[in-house]
Amino acid sequence: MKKIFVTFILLILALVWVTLYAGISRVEPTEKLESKIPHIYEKEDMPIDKISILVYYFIPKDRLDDSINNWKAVTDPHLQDLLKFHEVQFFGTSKISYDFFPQPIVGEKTGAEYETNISEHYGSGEMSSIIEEMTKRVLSEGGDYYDPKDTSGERGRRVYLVVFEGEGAAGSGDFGLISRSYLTLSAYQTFSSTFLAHEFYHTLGLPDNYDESSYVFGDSQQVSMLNLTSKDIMGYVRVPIESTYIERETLQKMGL
Amino acid sequence: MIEVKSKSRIRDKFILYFVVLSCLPVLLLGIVSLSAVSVSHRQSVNDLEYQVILEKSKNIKNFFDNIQSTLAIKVETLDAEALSKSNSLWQTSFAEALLKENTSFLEVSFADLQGKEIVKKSKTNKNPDLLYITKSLQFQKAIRGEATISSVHTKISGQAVTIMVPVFVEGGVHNVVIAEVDLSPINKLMKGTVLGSSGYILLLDESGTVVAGESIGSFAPGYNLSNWERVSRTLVIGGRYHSPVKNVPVVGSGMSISNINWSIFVEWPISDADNLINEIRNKILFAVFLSIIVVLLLAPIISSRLVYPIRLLEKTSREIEKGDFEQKVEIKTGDELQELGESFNRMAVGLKRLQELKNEFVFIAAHELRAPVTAIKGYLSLLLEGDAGELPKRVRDFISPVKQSNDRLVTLVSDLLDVARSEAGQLGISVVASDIKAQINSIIKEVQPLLMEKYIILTYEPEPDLPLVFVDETRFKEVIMNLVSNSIKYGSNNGWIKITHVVKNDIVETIVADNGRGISEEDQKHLFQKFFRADDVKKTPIQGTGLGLFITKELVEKMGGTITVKSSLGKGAAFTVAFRRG
Repeated sequence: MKKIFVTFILLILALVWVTLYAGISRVEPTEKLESKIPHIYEKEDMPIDKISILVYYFIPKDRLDDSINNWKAVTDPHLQDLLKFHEVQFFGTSKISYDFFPQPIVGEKTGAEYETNISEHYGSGEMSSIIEEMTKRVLSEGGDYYDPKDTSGERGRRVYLVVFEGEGAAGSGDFGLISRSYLTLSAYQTFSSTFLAHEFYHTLGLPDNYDESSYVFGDSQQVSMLNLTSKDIMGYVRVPIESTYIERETLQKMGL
Repeated sequence: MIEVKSKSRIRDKFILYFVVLSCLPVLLLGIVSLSAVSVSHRQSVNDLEYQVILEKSKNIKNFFDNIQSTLAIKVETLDAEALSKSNSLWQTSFAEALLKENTSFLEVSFADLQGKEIVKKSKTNKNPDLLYITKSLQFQKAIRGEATISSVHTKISGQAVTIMVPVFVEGGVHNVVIAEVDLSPINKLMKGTVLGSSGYILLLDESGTVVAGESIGSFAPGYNLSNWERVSRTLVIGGRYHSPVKNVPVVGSGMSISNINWSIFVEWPISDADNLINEIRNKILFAVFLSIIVVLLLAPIISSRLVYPIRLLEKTSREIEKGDFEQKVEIKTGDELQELGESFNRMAVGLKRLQELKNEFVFIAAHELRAPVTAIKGYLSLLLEGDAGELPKRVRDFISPVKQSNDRLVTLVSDLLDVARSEAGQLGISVVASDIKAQINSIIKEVQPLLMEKYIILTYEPEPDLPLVFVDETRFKEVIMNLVSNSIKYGSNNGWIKITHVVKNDIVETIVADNGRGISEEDQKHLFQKFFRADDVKKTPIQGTGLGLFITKELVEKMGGTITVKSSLGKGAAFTVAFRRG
């Protein structure tokens, strides 16, 4: 009986083995892919999985007549376009939220003093006076528009978008600046959102993908032109936001 | 019904061999089938995946080859002089034609060697800006004569690439034609591909970014998979792994598309890919399990059937051993066991005949001997009684042992006759309700001389109301006489014998007990066998044939009673005969 019992046990084991292993192909275990958390351009220690934008309306003291009441309604659709564009470029790994500062900020200086009467897009230097004043009055303790909640990073990386009355656009540090007219004038209508997005991306550290070069025409006339490194949103903004993109190499330097 | 013994080694052996010899091939066959089917299926799946990725990579390669050849061929037909005089007119015509010819083109432009776009036509913009792209690495490659495809641009409107192809005129690069190419045809091609009900394709560009394919969670076009180890392998067919894409086990194959350095991956969830094979597998396993269960159920039944004739033979041989030669074995297996049974029956008949011959011989011998030994006894008695005259003492001394021996011979012949008659069924037994007290008292009277010789005291004090007992009076007397004679013969001087009765319900027991030499436990097992005498008794001068107790038991059993003994060596014995009360 002992032999029969042992044989029976061996038979059960054999059946179990056949059921579990015979003809069953081995599956290599899970390869966990590190989830990608994007970060500021070339700064891995500054994640941007969540970004919150605080939008200001800045009016030089001599431009109050030019200002509009519905600046939020005008800006909002372009911000929505930005969100959509950002979602596609970062395929959901980075989320943007935004709020509007409740009231416009009237500048201490005139428009000319802010040197904003420049129709072309320049770098941060020309907008530095607006940024300085905003920093002093909005971001620094003691500033007349300072609210610690506004600077809090509870909802992610905090950046500031300033829609201002004047000409020009720039982006530097945590600030992106864009002329209100670029959002409302029909001449810019096709690419207003692209323009706004371009300045916003400067706050994430993205550099411009162009620089100034000289072009020599056939008649030896030399003209200064913007020489594109890439036709992406950081190189060329005069396209609808649906038709532009962020260069792959740029995204790689942001951790994607 | 044959009584099944607790130990049945041959049956267990049969079961073991049957199970092993039946189940082993079933298991082996099952393993081989499962393995073969699995291997074959896996190969089929691998082949199918390979076919799919081969076909798709061919389609993609053709897509880009067509575009590049479209951009390359047409411009080469012009010469440098004609080109320089044309004022970009030919570029404009070409750009328009190219845009019209290929539905994938979103924008076509021509750039001079300084990187200035001189002509641009767009499907999405009526007046596109002419840009300056010298700094573009892709442009720099193009002016060196290399056609390039950019990394994939992921836009809200869809995926696109920029293709730059140098325009050669008279062996040198004259212009660069730039096309913005919509990748939605490729995306459609990828999405339209289905393996089973849940297989999918992913197309990755040279940086490992998803270009096209089904969007699965975050694995949408634009997602970079360069950190996935499998992306780096050139060709992998039929790997089975847990995919991070859908987080399920899959059969996956991948291939690199050579001219554009993109990769195409096919993944087919194993639960879908192996759906059919799993059904087959389950059927094979079911068959294996069922076969084994049937074997396990049949094994004891079949082995019992095989062992049954052997059991039958064994039981019948025990009956024959007891002397019942009428027993026959019925084995109808139609094989050697049946022949064995028939031989066994013939042997039983032979044994029976032998027994009958022996009994007949014993009867005849005893019967023939009876007359002469009785005659000898008679004449010796007459001689010793002096009927032939006074015998000299010397003659008397010679004749006495002869008489004793003859007396023994007479007893032996008488016993042999009784045994022969009993075995031949010729012992006449007439059982009636009898007063056994009278029989016992008669015996006591008869044995008084023997008791006095050895100073043995025999007590018998029956109850006055002792019931009648169903016995043959003569045979009962014979039984009790034998027991009392044995007690006297094997008792010591100054001993005692007690005869008592015990009435239990409808059984009356008669117990003859003594304080004689007693009987060992081992000897008690053989006490009622023919010719048995205990070894210690054989060493004594006490004479006996060894048939007395055998005959006693025969007589008791033929009267429907039982006889038992209780004894210990040196402590006497108590024989109990029990009969039904009348």
